[in-house]
Amino acid sequence: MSFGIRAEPSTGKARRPKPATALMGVARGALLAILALLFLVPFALAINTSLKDQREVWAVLSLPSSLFFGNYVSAIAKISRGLMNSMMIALPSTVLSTLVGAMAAYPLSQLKFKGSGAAYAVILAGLYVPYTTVLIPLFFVIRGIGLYDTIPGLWVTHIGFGIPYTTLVLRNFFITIPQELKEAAAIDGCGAKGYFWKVLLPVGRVGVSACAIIQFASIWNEFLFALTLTRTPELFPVTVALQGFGSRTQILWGPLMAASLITIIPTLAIFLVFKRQFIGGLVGTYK
Amino acid sequence: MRWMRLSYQQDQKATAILYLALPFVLFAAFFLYPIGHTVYLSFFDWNGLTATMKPMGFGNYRSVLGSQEFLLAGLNNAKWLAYFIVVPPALGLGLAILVDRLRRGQGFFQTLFFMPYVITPIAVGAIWKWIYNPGSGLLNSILRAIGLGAAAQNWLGEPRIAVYSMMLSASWVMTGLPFVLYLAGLKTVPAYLLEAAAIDGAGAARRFLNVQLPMLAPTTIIVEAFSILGAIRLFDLVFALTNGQPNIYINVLAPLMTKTSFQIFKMGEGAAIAVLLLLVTASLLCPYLIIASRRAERVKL
Repeated sequence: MSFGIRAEPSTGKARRPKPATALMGVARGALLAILALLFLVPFALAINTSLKDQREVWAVLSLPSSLFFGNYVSAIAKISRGLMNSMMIALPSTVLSTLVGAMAAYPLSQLKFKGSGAAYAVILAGLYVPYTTVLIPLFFVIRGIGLYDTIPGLWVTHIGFGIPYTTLVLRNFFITIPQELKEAAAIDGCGAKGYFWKVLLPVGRVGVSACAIIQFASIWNEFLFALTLTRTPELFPVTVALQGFGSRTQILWGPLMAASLITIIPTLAIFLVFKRQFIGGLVGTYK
Repeated sequence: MRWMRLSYQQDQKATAILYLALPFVLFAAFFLYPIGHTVYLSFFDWNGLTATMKPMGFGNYRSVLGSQEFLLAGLNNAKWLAYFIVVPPALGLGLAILVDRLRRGQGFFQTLFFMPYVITPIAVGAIWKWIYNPGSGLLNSILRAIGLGAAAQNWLGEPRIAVYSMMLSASWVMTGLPFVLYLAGLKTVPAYLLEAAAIDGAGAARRFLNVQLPMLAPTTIIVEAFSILGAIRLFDLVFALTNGQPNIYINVLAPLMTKTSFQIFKMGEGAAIAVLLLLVTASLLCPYLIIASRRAERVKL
């Protein structure tokens, strides 16, 4: 209960809910229920359409007469390669970009040195750069180092552009770890260099995992860099594959809805399983 | 003991340099250098393929600013900016207030309203294209089923309404982040303040306006900063809803920039659009950057 005043009137004065207040509560509940249903409509539409065969798809408002899973078969045929590529892109990028963010966050939260505030401000400013501004040179840099149209090219890109965000999340988290811990470690002979691996990462694993969870979702969902830096369809991550699939002149809505649902399963599952870390990570970042 | 303390500090400094080196090299490679190079390229005529680059002065800026395509996209981006500043934060705040007063089920509604935010915009685009399909899409089917068939529209094909149709689908996605941030912000308002206001006779509306809203100011600053940025970065959703080929009446600047650079190979004009976008971003977000850097310096180590 956030409104302690409503839950338990602590004063001696007995406070009976006025009829108007009770009515307000009912109205609020009804409004929330309607909004909740509206928010579910696109999901419901996608699921409903994905389970119909081609002849029934056009009757949007009716339920499938029998469950048809053929759409999922053809969707998987179309995007399975993309799903694999996305995993190959997202997993290493997530681990490495979280690690690089932690490397930056450690000195910025735990060590005393001149220019710490300025260094942090510069990295934070990166959060506000529109990606279009870096896109042309990025393309030529990645091509110049031989990583255009390769999966490692996207690793490097996601690590680089992840820095402002991962640094911000992890710095905000590491700063809550008391300095006394570092002093105690120093007395036990752990220097500042070893402190990061031996103490900070294990102690800060809650924040590190929240950061990794959010990074994974944003890399999985990413489209612009993938579109710019890949050309061979066999290397497309699932977002680019799905976009191509949904842009045909003759769209097959059943398979497209099935493919969309399959594409969103990994991030949705991670969010539902790790909801506390996911939202906690976002709230902790932007406070 | 003096020498020991000194070496402890030196150890800290050396470690700081060691750990910051890689992040800073990457930051320079992916942010500082590309921004500088984009500015440089914006003064040249270059197709990205050959080695010849013709200096143009401000020629690229003149031709970009004089083109109808750019002006239309800029106008649409301005509409999107207004939308992003007002709609998702207001919807998020409204939902947060409704959910915050629930005695039970807060977690359920938090999950529900945040869910669209975690799915890829390309899938969002695919689903909403089906909602807006002029033939058998959900929206027109509902309108026909309730006898309002005359109101059926080509929601994404009619330039006058397409931008607003896209905004509706954006609302489904973009409300999630402001919502969870405001919901968390409301939890930080101490109950005794609301209690005191209630005892003084303030109704729910006054308690919200005079107690809760001012205490949500830090949340609002962050929400608005990222809303503005969202409007400028807007790409995926427009791209997905228009099959990757937004017509000039509904386009925005980011897809126009990628088209100019990577489809018709006018790198200089693409760079000029990118620089203009950066300037707009910087001028809109400068207050936020100042706040952020002050906050960074204020933190005691």
